[in-house]
Amino acid sequence: MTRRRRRWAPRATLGLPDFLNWRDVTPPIDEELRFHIEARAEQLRKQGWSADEARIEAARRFGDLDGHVRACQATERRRRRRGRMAVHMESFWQDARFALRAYRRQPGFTGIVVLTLALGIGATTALFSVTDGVLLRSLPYPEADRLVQVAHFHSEPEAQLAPGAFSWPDFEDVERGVTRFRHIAAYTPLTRNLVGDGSPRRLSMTLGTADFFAALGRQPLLGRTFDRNDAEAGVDDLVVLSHDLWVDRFGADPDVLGRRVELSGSSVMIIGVMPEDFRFPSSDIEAWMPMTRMTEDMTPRFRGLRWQVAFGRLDDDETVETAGAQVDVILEALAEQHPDSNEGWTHAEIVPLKDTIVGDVKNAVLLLFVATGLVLLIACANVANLLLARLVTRDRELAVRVALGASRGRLVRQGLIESVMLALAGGAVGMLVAWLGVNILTSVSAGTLPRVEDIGLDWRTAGFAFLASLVTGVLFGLAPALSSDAPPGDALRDGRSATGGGRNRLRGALVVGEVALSAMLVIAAGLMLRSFWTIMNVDPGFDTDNTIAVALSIPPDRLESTDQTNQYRQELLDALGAIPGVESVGSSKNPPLAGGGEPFGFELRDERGSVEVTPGSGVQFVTTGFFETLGIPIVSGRAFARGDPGLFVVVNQTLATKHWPNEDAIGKRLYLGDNEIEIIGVVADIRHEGIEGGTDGVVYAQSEVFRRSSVILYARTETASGAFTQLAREAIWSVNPDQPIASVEALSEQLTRDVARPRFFTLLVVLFAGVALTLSVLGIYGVISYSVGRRTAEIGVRMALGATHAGVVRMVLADAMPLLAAGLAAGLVGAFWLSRLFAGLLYGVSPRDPATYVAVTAVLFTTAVLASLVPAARASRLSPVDALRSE
Amino acid sequence: MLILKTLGWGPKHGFEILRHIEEVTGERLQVEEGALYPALHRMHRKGWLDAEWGVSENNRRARFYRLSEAGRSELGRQVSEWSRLIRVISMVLAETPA
Repeated sequence: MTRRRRRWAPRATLGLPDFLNWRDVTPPIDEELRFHIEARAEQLRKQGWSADEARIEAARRFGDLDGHVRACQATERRRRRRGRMAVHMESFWQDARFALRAYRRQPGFTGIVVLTLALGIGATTALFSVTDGVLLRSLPYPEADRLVQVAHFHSEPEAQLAPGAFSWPDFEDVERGVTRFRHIAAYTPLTRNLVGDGSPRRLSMTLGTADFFAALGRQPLLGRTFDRNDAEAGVDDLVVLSHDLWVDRFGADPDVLGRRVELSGSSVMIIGVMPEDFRFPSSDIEAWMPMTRMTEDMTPRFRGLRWQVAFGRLDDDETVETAGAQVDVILEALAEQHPDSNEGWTHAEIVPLKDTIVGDVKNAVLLLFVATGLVLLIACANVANLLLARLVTRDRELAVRVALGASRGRLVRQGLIESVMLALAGGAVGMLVAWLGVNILTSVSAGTLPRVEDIGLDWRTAGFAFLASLVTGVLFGLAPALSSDAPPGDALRDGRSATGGGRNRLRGALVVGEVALSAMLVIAAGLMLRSFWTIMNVDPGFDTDNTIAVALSIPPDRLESTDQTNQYRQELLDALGAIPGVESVGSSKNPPLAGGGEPFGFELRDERGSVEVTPGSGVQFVTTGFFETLGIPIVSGRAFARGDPGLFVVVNQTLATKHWPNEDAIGKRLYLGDNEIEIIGVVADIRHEGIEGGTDGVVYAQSEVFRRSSVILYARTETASGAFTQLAREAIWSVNPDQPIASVEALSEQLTRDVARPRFFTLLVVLFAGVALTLSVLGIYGVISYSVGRRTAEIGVRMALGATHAGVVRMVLADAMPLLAAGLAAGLVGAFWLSRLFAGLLYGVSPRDPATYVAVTAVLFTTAVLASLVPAARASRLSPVDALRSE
Repeated sequence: MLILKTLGWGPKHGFEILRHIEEVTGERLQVEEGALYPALHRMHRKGWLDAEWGVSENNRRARFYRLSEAGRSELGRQVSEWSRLIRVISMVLAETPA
């Protein structure tokens, strides 16, 4: 038995609980028990026992020594396990309090870091809420994943005016034949004038078939929706209001049910009001009406006119494949029965409804989300750099703690606690940024994003921000924390860190990462800009300057005969033309850029037989003066003249070249059914399908012959048309005070709106790229200044030995170059990967456009070199004496 | 309970606790002495006792136990429990057949 003569101060005076010393506890238990036996033996000896006998008696009285030691050890181990947990919690709070104190002492540093993180986390969170609302969240219908769109295609790809649309009779046959859908329905848009009860209003409406509401599975807020019973009873004078219309027009009056209103001349009964979040098929729809069922005699005429969009709810256990196969069978049977209209129209394509709603913005939203994620990563790298720099000033503190026995794990943990605290603070401020960002995004993106109404901050977003903060904190905290394993001796001996080498490598890696990430973003931004520039330079084919467009629907009491309609339209045009300063007027059924051509098939008969002429962009109905007012050049022949309504058409250049490549189209005859139609003119192409759409064949027919209620009136003025819109309204109302006007706007505004989406996405990507570039330039500057700072003495020695200024600058740049080069190389590879995501967003530019890559690389490289040149130049201006003194 | 009561008078190491109990009870309570230690460690784990190493009266290193706050209230609880038990038992015993 060892006898320790050393005096032991009671531990309590050290202020440490004894379990901190748990490693050497086993001997003390043994020692404690043996002390007892010895003390007993001592006592017995004093009572007159011999030493040996006393020892034996003491041991006997004590009993099973080993057993008791083991029992004590078991208790002790259990106690310590719990003790360590408590120690962890205790030291966790200790670290947190310590970090908080440290940050309070450095408000500047803390502020910059928190702000950087807040921007990064905030932007990412804002974009997450957009992604969540638009892409992730399911549509607001029960079991929305069972809802699909059913599209009808020709077996060979063929130009179709409304891609995937069904004709009315085809849909009814499909509806009767399918069994694999619980419900299937179709709809078609229309506009109606609501008159009475205040100013006339043009409503965007949807006509739905019997199961329209049943398939969607939503209950009305008030009253009922139309259903199969109405359809079978032949009742179609019903209307269901949207929540917005109900509030705006009917003051949210619960008694509207059963009331009759006038919709474009027919009386319909209000039977229900839908909840606020019901916006199908799009958010601008204000009311729904049942579609009138076909009568037998209408069927043949309508079978070839495809403009109904079909959707349905799959039955349980059915998939898009099984349902699609069934629809295909029905369509094939229809093609055999009706070869005239249906030959080749045998293919159905079934896709989840959500995909069709968000389809074309999916990539754009994902790209933006990735972009903000990259910005956040760059922000992380910058903060990590700041923390590393700050760590240098804390080398002594850390070394002292290591020397006092703090374990490496403990220091790493403290580093992480500090960084996670910073990140959480950044995340909290970031929620504010996100709130702002979401508000700005949703207001700016109006009309460019679907499902805008589903975007908003909520618990999911907050959860995302929290997770993003945690991950961010660990990300930017890990590097500095792991690099803090300084051997205490080095750091204590002199003020400088001997571990700077390792840390410098780490900072170098961070710079490479930053440059790479911002190169990706800047290239994406460059491509988007180029694409946008191309779009802006597309010639729409018509003059947008000083031309205004008035959109309206001719009321039914002026649609009773072609003559009456023509006269009314002409009165409106004359009223517009009478406004002083108006040079010419004209009208068309559809606004330019908005498509809407009607699907007519013509026949071309000549000595070789009969050829079908199907204008890809359909038939557009225009009046005299249309081409002149919009400034569309006549290539050959003539435009429609006033007073010659007849079976004449004008075709565009594309159609003329396609069918008569080597001869003049003028005077050629087309047949529509048995009607002979003469081509009297060829005009230049305009972009009917929007700026980004191509140009396809168009046949222009006279509005005077084909009566339609939708009308766009154009007036071309001598000067800018700003103040002209009110005059135009007054002119219309002077003819008919009850005429609702949908909109009056300059054609240039329509053009602007047409490019709103590319502009919106381009703007955001450029913004993010700008932030990324700024952050990484700051990062490069920071790292180079830091390494110059550390080498001040060395630079002094070199200059004292005759190094030139240029030599010093070169030396510093030589340090920076490999980092920049590596970063750019990685960035180019990353951009190639990213380009797949936004190939669909680009117009007229390849996602691998070499010019953009080269230009962006040059810009980035120059910026980066400039960022490192500043500290290099400063180093070269040092006087050798000062530099050496800084040691 | 006896151990807690003993420590109520001040910190002691194991042998002193045993001696104290022996003296108070006049060595009437004969137990295996070693069994005291697992008991002490259990009470330490439960937080009733604080333990620290110190120097014994004969200048040797010994582990001293002291009643903690939790231990003091535990003692109070056990004493009142015990008194109640005694009272109940006395009441039963006092009920002699008349």
